[in-house]
Amino acid sequence: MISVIRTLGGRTIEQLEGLGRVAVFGGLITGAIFRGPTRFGFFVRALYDAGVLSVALIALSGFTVGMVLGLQLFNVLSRFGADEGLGAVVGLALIRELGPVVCGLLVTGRAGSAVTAEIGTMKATEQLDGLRMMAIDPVHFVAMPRALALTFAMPLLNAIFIVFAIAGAFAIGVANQGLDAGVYQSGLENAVQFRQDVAQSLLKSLVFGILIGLVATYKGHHCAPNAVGVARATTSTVVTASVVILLSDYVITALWGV
Amino acid sequence: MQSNATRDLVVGLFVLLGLLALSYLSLQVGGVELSSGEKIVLEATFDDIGGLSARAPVRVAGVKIGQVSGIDLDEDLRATVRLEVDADVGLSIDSSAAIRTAGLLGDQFIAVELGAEDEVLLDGEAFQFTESALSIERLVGQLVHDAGV
Amino acid sequence: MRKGGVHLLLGGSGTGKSTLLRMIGGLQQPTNGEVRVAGQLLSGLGERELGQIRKEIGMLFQNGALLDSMTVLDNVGLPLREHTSQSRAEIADRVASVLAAVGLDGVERLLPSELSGGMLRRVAFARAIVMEPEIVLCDEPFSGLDPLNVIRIEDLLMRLNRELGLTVVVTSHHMASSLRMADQIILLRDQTCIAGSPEELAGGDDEGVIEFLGEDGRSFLARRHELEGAAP
Repeated sequence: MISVIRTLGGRTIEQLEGLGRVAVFGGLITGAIFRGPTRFGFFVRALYDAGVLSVALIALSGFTVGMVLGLQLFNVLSRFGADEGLGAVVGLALIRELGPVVCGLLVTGRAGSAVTAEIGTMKATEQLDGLRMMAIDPVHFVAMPRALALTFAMPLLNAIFIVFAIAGAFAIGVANQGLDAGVYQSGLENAVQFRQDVAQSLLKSLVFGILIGLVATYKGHHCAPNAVGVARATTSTVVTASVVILLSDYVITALWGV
Repeated sequence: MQSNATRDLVVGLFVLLGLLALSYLSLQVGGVELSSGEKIVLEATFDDIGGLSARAPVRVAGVKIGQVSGIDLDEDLRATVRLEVDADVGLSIDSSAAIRTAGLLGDQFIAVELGAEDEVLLDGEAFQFTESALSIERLVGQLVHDAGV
Repeated sequence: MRKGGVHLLLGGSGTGKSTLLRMIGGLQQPTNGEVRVAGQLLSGLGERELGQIRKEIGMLFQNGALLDSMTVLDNVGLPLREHTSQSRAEIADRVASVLAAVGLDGVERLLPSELSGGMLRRVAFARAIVMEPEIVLCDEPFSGLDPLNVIRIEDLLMRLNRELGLTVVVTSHHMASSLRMADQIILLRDQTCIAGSPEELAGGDDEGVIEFLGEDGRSFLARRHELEGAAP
């Protein structure tokens, strides 16, 4: 019994230490931002990796999620003769919750893991040590532009995801099930409000972007310098970032007061 | 690796696409109005506003001219609704404001019916005539009462 | 270690040759003892102070440690871009001349993944010396190279040492070439080290040294001066 409690305590301390190290790393990145801007070219390249390479996945997933929502909700709503509520329900669900969360999980899997793998490989092949020996701070040079790019790309990807999902639900509800296009559109526009819904969506995606960037670069920088270490770190990024996204989503939703 | 120019262009397109999606969500869906001209605030007092909520549309002849910007309870325990409407519409001072429902169960909005006077309502002034929300429960109750059941 | 010599770190796998180099570069902290570079104690220095010292050190890593995503030009020119105010054209000139010094030209636009092992090593070497450091640390510069490239790099190291007066520290188990260059040999073995000039080690009767160098190495060392005398 005591050993169980001891294990629990040990694990807790371990987790807290890990949290502390992530926080310190976040501080380093923040410090790096203020110490001097990254070269624009690096940021653009990181944005290409984080954003452009994710667009196809995000758009396709968004459209599919929208179609599924449209089909499911239309069936349920029409049972109560409330099919004109489709636009409102789809819009609110996507903008408030599904958009930021699903998009965050997808970006974690697509771009976050790639960042960890890239930085981890750089560590395993001594590229990070090489930078330090040239008196170049690897956090400033490697981690900071990538974390910034993920933070910057997330709200944009989130918006793209939501627009495609709204189109997906439109395709099912209007083109397939015969709902009036104007009814769908006005239901959507009347239900969704900028300050309550769109701003919340933006805030969430921004926070998720920061978290993904932080976790991905941290895991890359702190992985064991070999192939197994890189593989573990990549998996760990996906797991950690996903959990952190879901937890912080609840916190933000609760604080926002829905 | 692609050349820098191509990559920059693609990244630029990505940012543009994201911003377009973002502005569609904010402006069209979210209903943020940028420079939508002068606004004036009018007041209307109702006995019962039913399910009217802030941001409900204000319409003249079915066309949206503004929205509900705030709802308060005055000292007589009546609901004072503040309406933010376009300044250039020019509602005559004997216009009336009525709370209507879109469809049987739809959202409530304020319908303004124009009067005959030449003078128009100015910023901060109140509607003289108002018509409270139609409550289905009350209608049914009235019906039952009148039928003497 | 003395300034200006070619120092050779020898030892079997796992005796800490690379670790010692990394400690000189300040990349690792010693568990005990202390490291001084140019009289300055490294432990307790922050990254910024270490950076000042590291500008005087060029390090050649085993795998080159070139940045995969950047061209050879950008890789070699990186320290110049970060630490000097030279223009792009000046940097390109300097990079071209350093690359020429290591026997490469026309590779500026290539990525590290497009280079052979020997070219990669030489590009990395060019990057290590592009800032004209006082000290060059080379971790296994000869491993996995064909004999021709070994001789090229060897010559380069010797030339730098003789002509520019650089301090060169090399880890290796490539016996013949390392022995040819060294002014001082430091043999790491069983958590101790034995240091001395090649002649001293060859002439000595320490069992470990004899065991490690082997009969060939000893005879090579003994004949080294004759060989050098023979070759002009």
